[in-house]
Amino acid sequence: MKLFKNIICCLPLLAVVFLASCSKDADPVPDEIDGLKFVASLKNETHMVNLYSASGKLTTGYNEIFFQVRKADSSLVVNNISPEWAPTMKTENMSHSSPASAIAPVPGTSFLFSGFIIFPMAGDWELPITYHIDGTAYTSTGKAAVQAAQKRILESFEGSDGQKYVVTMLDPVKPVIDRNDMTALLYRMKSTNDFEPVSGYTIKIDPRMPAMGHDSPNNTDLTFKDGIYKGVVNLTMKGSWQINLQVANEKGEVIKGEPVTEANPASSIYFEIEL
Amino acid sequence: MFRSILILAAVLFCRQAVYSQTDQHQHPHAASADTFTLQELREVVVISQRSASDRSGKPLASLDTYLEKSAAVNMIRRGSYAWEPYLNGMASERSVITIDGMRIYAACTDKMDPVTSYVETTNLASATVHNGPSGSTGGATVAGSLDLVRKKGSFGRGGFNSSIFGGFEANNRLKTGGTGVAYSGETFFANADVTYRHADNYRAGGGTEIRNSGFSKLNMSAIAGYKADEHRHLEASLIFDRASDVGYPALPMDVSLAQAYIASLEYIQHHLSPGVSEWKTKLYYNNVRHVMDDSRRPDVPIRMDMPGWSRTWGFYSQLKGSREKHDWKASLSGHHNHSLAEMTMYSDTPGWKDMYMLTWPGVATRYADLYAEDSYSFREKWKATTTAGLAVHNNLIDNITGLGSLRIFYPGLQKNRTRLLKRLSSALTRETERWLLSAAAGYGERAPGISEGYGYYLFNSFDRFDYIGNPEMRNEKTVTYGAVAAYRRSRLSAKLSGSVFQVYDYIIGKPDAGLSAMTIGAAGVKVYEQLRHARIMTGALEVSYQFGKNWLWTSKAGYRNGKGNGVGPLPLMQPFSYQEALSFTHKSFSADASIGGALKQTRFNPAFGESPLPAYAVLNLSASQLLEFGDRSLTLKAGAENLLDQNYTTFADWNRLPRMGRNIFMNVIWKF
Ligand SMILES: [Cu+2]
Repeated sequence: MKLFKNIICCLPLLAVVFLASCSKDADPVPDEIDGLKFVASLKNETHMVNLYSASGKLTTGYNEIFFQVRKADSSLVVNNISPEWAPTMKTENMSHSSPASAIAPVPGTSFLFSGFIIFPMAGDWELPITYHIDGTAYTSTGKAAVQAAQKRILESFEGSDGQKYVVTMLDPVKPVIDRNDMTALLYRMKSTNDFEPVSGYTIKIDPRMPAMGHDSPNNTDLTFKDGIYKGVVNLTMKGSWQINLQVANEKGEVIKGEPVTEANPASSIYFEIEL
Repeated sequence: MFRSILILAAVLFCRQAVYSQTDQHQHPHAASADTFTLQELREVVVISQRSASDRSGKPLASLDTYLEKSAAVNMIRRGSYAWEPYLNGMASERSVITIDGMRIYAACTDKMDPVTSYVETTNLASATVHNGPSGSTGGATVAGSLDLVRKKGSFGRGGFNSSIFGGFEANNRLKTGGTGVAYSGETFFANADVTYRHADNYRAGGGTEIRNSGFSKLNMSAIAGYKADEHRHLEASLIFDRASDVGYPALPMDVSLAQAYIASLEYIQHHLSPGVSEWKTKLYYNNVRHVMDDSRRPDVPIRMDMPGWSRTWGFYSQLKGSREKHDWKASLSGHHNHSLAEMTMYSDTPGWKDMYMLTWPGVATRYADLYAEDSYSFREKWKATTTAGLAVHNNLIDNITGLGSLRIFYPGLQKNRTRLLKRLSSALTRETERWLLSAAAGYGERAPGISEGYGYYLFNSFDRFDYIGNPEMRNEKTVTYGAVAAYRRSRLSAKLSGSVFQVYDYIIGKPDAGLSAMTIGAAGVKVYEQLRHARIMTGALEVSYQFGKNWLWTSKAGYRNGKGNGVGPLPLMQPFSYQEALSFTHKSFSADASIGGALKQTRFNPAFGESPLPAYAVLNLSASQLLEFGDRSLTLKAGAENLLDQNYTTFADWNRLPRMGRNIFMNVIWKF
């Protein structure tokens, strides 16, 4: 009995010793990925690329993704290797790509990269990342599972101009009863594998509460500034909202989406916000 | 009691008292005073269960019915219970309603619980009305003030006085019952009473049942006084009032609970110095909880709950005195209120969340007030009264969600707003043996009420608009003129009174076509705005004549008229209405027949949901008998209201809700 008690007392001490010894063996600068959660690994014969995100998950819509490249001896590769990525999803007879940003080293870190990918649909995505070490190009690849977002935050559509577009909402992440800053990104599909950001358009918003049919006043449509579409969405109460969209080009011509009227309770493209 | 009325009466012409208790068995109109008392300047309605001689109405009637008899008050009716007092044709935000000087803020966003709903006639002595800004110790006001004066014992006489009372009304099976005990000793007095009422649905004229019109109410009240020495005493008081399952047939929702605790402690000192006769200081606290629900409504577009809370603490300290020909009064008061109301709507679509918002965004009201009054008697028959008050009023939105809600409409909204509210009045009175003439003028300001300033999608079921408050409004201001002429000869007495309220920056909701209604089925959204000018005129005439020894005829008529710049007639204004009564008294028996009615209402405003109303007249009969057995007594009163079972509705009925049809009632009071 007494022995047992002694062991119990010693447990926290043991744990501390154990933790201390662990951290000695770990990466010299593990804090670069503090607060991030592991998502998936990409591999080739010589390297392993670990992907991270804030939630540890990838979902449809906008995802900010971080990664580090590790050698076989598990040492980290310094982030001056100009990586590029080409997310693709293969179905039986089709191959899709997704809008993605360029990749940049995270300022203030030695090994960490970041960029974003807008996944238009859920499923297993191939995520080949190509980088250059000492003049040699390497590609690590692997699959990452993309889950469907809980709310509708992305729309893919064909505009009246015959072009294909993807629009996705970034903010508000934590919507409140108030004026909420709203941001979105709009991409045009140049070819099956190539999306380009669209600037100078207007994303008109009309928030509605479908359970009651009312809107909210004094919203600001999203216009393009500093690489992103920005506006204000007003949420007058808690509940489920639909943000009805109309996308208009530089000339102000609506290329997709319809105004909400009594006969037409929702636009053909909309986002969902829940609070 | 009588003395306190006289003290209060020394203030101004434009005041009316509605008594809920008198021990005098004398009808005020039958009073045989040779000279005027200032009582003539008031409208007096005897309403007590203590009195058998009340010739119209029931001793156990609700406070609402009593107040309705005052010429200055209209009671806006949304059901059988908790009518909203309109002073001089103006909504309750424009007046200050107090219980023994205590400020209480209602907790309902839909005006289902006016302050007057938290007391019972059993524990009230009188209700005093000041018209306009004159004489309002309670605070800044435009329309006037109404103080409900509680009944309390006095020191000295010694012994217990008790009563048991019960009543039944056939129309809505209203059962009233209760008991009161009073003890009076040399250094201690106490009053306590309990009243319970329960009513089922009532039937309108012709027999149509008005669904959701029943209610239950329990009221308990106690006051105790302790005399420290000859000139100093302490009083403690507590009211608990709980109404449950109250139906509001004119509204889309009912109330499952309306509950208030009202407590106070007061220190009173007399004869401080030759010039200062009284010093009163009171601390008080009240807590009101109000729960609206629609669980008894069979079909609603969406189920909702709308609870509200209001807490107030406050104080006043008041000095009274006289010096040569001056009677004066000075008062310092302050209070702090916090009001919050919310609304939850239950989604019946899977995947769509329940909806929630704050309908009152958590508003604190901090208020401090300095008030002074002087009454100067000169050349025997003349009296000049001047009153002045200055208040600091501050509102703070202290709920972050509430502030966020309003910032959608007012992006630059500051959470704090402070105002200065001024009031001033003067009156000149000339009193001779037969005539009493008085003229008065006043200026007053008020801050917007909580709904007007901060309300959020509050549905008005009369005009069917959602209302949004406007926190950026200026003070509403009024300039008021009034006059009274009263005449009395041995058997005849008559009183004619009139007043005009010129209101500037008049607060009213105006439709905003750019906003869409939140409430399903609402016509749109109105936002509170200010009219440059509105005008309200009121007039009343009362005549009574005594025939022989036993007969008394009384006649009353009243009219109001309101007009706002750009909106036309103001809503809920009394058309020409009248009450003719003939009573017979012989010893302790009395009988009474009366006809009350109104002419056709042709001035109405469809923008506020009003439609024209036909004329109506209703006949009432009653008889009462007082039986005395030594120092015990039994009062019996029975009667029939709306004897001919007329189906009618008045200007004061929300959504044109029909009034009660024929109603046979019986009241019994046993005092011992
Ligand atoms: Cu209510």
